[in-house]
Amino acid sequence: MSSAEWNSIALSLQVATVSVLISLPFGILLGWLLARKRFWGKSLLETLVNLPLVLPPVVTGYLLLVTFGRQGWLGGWIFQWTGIRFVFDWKGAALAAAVVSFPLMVRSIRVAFMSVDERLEKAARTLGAGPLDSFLTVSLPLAKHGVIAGGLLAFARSLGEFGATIMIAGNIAGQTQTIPLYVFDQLQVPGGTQNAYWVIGFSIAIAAAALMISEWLERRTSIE
Amino acid sequence: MKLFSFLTVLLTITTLSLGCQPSSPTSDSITILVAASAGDALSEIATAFENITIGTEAPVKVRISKASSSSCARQIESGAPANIFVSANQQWVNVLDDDGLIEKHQPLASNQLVLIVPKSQPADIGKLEDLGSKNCLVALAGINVPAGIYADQALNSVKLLDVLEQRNQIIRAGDVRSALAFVERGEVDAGIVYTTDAMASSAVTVVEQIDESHSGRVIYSVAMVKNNPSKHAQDFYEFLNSKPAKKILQTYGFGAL
Repeated sequence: MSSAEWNSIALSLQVATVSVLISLPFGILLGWLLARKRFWGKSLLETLVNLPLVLPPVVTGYLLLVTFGRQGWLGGWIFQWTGIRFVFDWKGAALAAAVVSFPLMVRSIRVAFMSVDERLEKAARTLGAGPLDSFLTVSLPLAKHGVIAGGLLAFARSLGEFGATIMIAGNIAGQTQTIPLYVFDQLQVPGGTQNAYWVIGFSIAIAAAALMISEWLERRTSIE
Repeated sequence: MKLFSFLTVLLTITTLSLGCQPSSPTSDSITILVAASAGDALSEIATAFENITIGTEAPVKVRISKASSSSCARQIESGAPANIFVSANQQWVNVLDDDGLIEKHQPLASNQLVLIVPKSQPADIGKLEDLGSKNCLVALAGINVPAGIYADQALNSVKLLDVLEQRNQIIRAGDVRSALAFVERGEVDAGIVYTTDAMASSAVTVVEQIDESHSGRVIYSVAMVKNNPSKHAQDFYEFLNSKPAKKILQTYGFGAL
């Protein structure tokens, strides 16, 4: 494999890992909220969380560009205060991947929390555990398979993210050119597909592995 | 109950609108695959062509699909039922020709590259050479799409391509229209696009017309696809050479050959 191919694979793994690590705490919080709590505006929140699942990724990317761009209301502010730039940067690719894969993560985590027996949580509370304590020592450990499954699903989805990524991060070799962007680029060259065979094979393998493991974990959750 | 009546109305409308369509859409329609940058102009030419055939016994419906030249060519390679292919460069036409997929081809029009800056916040950039002296971001089309290849040649001719690449000042968009969008939004300080793209946007200012001695000649080609012979496709192919068609191309900013 050429260095461009390795670069795209390494970059994709980096982007997907960071995207999952950043979104996981929010995913756990929201999954738990949606599974356990009833509050005003819950259905609105659900819709918002799931929106990236059905929105055209290019639209998601455009909204991210408008928000997190140099001229965007949030992006300009973040850049001013922290020096972090999302546009045309791998961090933008990670952001796009996190947003697009978030609904899948929340879905899986939510189901996992719903399958936890509420009586166990209540028992922990009556035995003197605080809300956070009972969450960390009872709810979360019991839901861990679903949480990991959600993270893996999001990881697999992040690896394949294209539409939103190219809008906010551009297609810069070695910096923002992830696996799908590399394949897209090679398709534009006559005879370029040969270069992409390895990368295509690799992305199929890693996506299939992530799906299989998360399926297996989810099945274990439902059995328990 | 409300839902039911809504569905009934929907169903009725669908049925009615289906009934209005021409009875045999396949025999009297042709399909054209167009490079995205020529899409607007070809749509208008297609309408003009349709209007001519309306009075005749067999009115023709022209179906247009826009994508990058390479995507169009890939579709034809895998047997897409297209009659005509309009490409932003000669390279893909030659590839299809070598594979024996094309009956004939002809040059259609020329285009030109321009250096643009956002209208909202023009940095002090007046020509290609200025890009080297400033710490500015430049948006180009992808490294392998025609617009990107021509732009690379232009930057290379003023010895700036390597410099800008090393300094990470070049932003590669997917296609030329996304490069234009980055400039429009002010996310980059400048961009290199076709003059036809710049004309389609009110949010950018053209600061330099890039001479073809820098970028190379930008020639659009039109090809007849072999596998789908059609009298109407032949007519349309010839119509592209007509005065009305040339006039439409001109209004969109395309040059003569």
